[in-house]
Amino acid sequence: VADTGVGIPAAELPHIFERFHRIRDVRSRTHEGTGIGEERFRRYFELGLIGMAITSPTKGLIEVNDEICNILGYERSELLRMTWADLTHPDDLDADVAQFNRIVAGEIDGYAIDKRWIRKDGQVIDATISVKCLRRADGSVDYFVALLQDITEQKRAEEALQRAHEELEQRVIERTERLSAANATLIKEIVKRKRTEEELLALKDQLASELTAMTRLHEFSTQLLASTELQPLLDEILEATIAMLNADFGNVQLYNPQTQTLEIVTQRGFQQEFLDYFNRVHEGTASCGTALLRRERVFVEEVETDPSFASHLHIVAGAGYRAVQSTPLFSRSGEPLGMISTHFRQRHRPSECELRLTDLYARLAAEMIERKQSEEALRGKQQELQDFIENASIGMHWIGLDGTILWANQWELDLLGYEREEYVSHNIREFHADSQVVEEMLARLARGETLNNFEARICCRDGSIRYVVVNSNVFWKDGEFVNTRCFTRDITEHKRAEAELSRSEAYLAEGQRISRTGSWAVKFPSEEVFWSQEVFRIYGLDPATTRLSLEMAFGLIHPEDRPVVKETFERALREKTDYNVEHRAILADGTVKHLHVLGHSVLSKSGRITEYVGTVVDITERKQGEVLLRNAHERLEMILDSITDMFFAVDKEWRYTRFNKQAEEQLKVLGKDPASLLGKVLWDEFPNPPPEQALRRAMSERVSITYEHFYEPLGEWVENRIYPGPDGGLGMFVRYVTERKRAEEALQKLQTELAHVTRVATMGELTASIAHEINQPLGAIVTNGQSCLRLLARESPDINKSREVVERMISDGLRASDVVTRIRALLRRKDAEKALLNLNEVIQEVIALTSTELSKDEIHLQTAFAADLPAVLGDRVQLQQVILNLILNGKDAMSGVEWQPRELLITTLGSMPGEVLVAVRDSGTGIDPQDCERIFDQFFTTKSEGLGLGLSISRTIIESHGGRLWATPNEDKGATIQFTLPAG
Amino acid sequence: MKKEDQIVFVIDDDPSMRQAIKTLIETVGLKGETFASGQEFLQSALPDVPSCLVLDVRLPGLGGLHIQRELSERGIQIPVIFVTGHGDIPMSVQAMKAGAVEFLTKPFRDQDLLDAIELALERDQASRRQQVVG
Repeated sequence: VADTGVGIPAAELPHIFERFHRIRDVRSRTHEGTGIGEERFRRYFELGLIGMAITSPTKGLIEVNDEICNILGYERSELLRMTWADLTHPDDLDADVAQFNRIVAGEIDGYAIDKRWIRKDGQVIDATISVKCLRRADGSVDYFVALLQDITEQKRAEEALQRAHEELEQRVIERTERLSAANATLIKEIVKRKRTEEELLALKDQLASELTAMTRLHEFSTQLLASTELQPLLDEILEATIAMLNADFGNVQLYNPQTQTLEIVTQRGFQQEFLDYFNRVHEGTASCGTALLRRERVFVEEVETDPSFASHLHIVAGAGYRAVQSTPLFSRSGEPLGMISTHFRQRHRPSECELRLTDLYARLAAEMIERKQSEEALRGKQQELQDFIENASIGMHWIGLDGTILWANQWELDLLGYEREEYVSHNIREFHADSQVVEEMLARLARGETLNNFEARICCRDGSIRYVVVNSNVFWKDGEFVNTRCFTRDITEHKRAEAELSRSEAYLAEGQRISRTGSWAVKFPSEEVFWSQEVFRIYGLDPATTRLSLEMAFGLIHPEDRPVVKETFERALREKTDYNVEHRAILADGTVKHLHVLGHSVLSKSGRITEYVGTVVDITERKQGEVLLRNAHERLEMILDSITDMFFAVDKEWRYTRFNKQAEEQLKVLGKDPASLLGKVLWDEFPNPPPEQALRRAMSERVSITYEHFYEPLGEWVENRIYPGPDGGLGMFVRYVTERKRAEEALQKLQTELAHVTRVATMGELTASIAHEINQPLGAIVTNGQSCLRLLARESPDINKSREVVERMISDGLRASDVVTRIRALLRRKDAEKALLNLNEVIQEVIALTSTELSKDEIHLQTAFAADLPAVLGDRVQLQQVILNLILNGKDAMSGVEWQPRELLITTLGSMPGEVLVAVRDSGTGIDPQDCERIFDQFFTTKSEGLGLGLSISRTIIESHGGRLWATPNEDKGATIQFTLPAG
Repeated sequence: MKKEDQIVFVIDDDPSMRQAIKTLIETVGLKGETFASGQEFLQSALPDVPSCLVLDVRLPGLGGLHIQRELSERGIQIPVIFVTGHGDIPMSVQAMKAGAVEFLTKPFRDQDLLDAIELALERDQASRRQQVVG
């Protein structure tokens, strides 16, 4: 929408004109009308939005508004007097007039035109004028309404725009021109680049092939580092070189410094003939020899014409190559190592690049060879060193700070007998026998000390101990303890020898001391004298201060003995013989010693005396002992002769060796000559003597035996006391004991008598009970007899029942008879008669007699008999008397006990070896501990009746059986009286 | 009352004597039951039939007079006939005072024992009747 420049859109203009027309119509129709339409128009007219003018075709301008005045710079009044033509720029007037004429002509009703105006002040402005005509009914123009819009600003803006556009266009053109220039340069550049790229591509191919070679080279280097084998690497290098040079054959030679030749180690494509021919190539021969000589690569483009091949052409022809290159391999120090040669079937010259790569390959090969050679050399050295370390006859090991064994050599393992895994990585402490020693070693090493010949004891695998000396110090690195360096030397044998030596020396010294034997030596002709410690001791001299010489030695001899000794010695020296002499010596303190000297001559091969060696024995004590012994012997003889017993001695062969005076007299009585009996065998002189068994037992068992017997020829009781003698024989004291025997027998008789009396008395006490004991079966017999009669008296007598009853009667009768028998046995007066007895049975018989007596007092008797009681040798009646006494004693002890169970327990025990024990335990009033022994006194009794002999006689009986009888109070109540008897 | 329904209890520690008395009792058709000790008798259940007790005076453990006293203390009214190996007067008096039917010395005449047993059983029957009536 074009702007009219006065705020009214251009499109609005026709509408305004339209409205203007209508107003005009209305005004004309109503003319004087209401005046409202007029008013509204006037307001538009004077609104000043746009310049407006009404023109009459005849009268010119008739109406103008303020705006148009403003646009044109004229006063209203001035304008009303002017025409459009006055105001129009002369150049634009024609166009306007033409349009105007068309309206007038009725062709158009209006027009709009941009044209230049001349303001009152002379300024030319652009303004658009829109003209509309209002026609009369006849078509003639009544008025013109003109709307004038100042478009000077618009014009100006358009012009500015136009100018800007033109400027822009200008600039685009300029820029385009510049870009074209740049583009042209760029194109040139691209072309250049393209060319370079092509060159690069070409280079790239070359580089790629070099890269392949370099990669290969790199692989070799890697392999070189990893591989230990030279041969496969050389194979590969040759292969790669051949491939890289596009060669047909090739070989690698190694330089042998001994023969100064090149020797083929790997090859490709050659026949055996060639290989044999060029087996060893000397300097100057063929290309490789030439390269070796010149110390640089040789390239032969055509072998046929090359002088170095002149004499080898037949072989070369056979091999089939025409060109060859040989690149020498040198060590870093420039020593020849070998050669890489490649051969071509056709004439050939490799490129610079190829040769450069060949050099690299050669360099690598040289490195490898050099390295392998040095490695081999090193390995050889290492093996030697390893062998030296492992098998050096010294143990070596390393230990960490904590004592762990990090390494040990084979010799050490062999020494101790361990497998490596049993030793290495274990702690050294495990192997030391003395923990203090190892701790000290480790502590000192940790302090940085060096151990020199440190003695230790190590435990071997087989459990033995080895003595070692250790030399060790520590390997420190940056102040850190890395490991020890321990050297272990086995000194076990040395130690053992040392110990043995010192032991044997000690033994010798000890032996000399104990035997009082010193050893000595005199060397000839130097007369140098040597004494052992014991000789100094014998003479009471200090080895440190004594100067030994022959003269000094002779000076020690008792003056009375000296001449004899000297003479003996000198004679022996003369005759080169041994000698043997006893003499006295006087010590510094005046003591006289008896010495026994032995000398042994030591002769040289030529028969000269080189030495006398011998012994000195102190025989002083022996000499004194001899005297003492003689005295003691004499005293003994005297004693033996003065005793009243006869003494006989026999040796172990039963030969008489001694009789004393009494024995001699007895022998004479028997008609024997004592002197002639000496040395004769006892059994020959007295066959079957009564004590034969005792004698033989004493001899064989080396025990003392006393044996008594009645010796018929003399009518005497004899006591033989037999002793084993120190010489393996026997000594026997014999005396007559008839008197003693008689006294003993009388006593025995008396005791038997007493025992009998007391027994009878005891039985008297039991009369009532014993009567009951008999009465009981008698009562049963009577009752049974009566019953039997009744059974038989029946109309049909019950025979079976009767028989049963009668059988019982018989059994009761026997029972009564047994009681009587036992009583009679106890009451019988008879001498002791010993037999093997089972004490359990013996006790049981007594119990049978006393059960009534005990039940009368309501005493409960229990027994605890040992099942396997050993038999005892004894008199049944006497032992039964003892048991009876003990039972009645127990009964009596409980008679005063009221309202308590009365219990009597008889126990037999065979647990003690060789002994049987019987204990009778009551629950009575007990014994005062003070009375424990007194109760065995004769006539001791606590009872109103009774002799008080019961326990006394019991003890006598038991003791006569070799046993003991004693009483002890029980812990709770009552007492126990018990006896032991030797098992039979 | 049938004879075989009545029981004569015998207490004697001597097995021969026990057996002999039992045999004798059985010859007259009575039933005999024997015990070796008073404890054994006191522990056994007594049947509710007319019965009497032949009791040895001297027994190990519980003596005859003890047993008699024990029975009366327990309220067991059983007529007792004492037999003894060697009776003495004080003992027999004590027994009779305590209500014994008879006191016989071994060896005794069979008829004496049987008479005593008969008397004892009659007494027991009488006392049992009295108990029932009363």
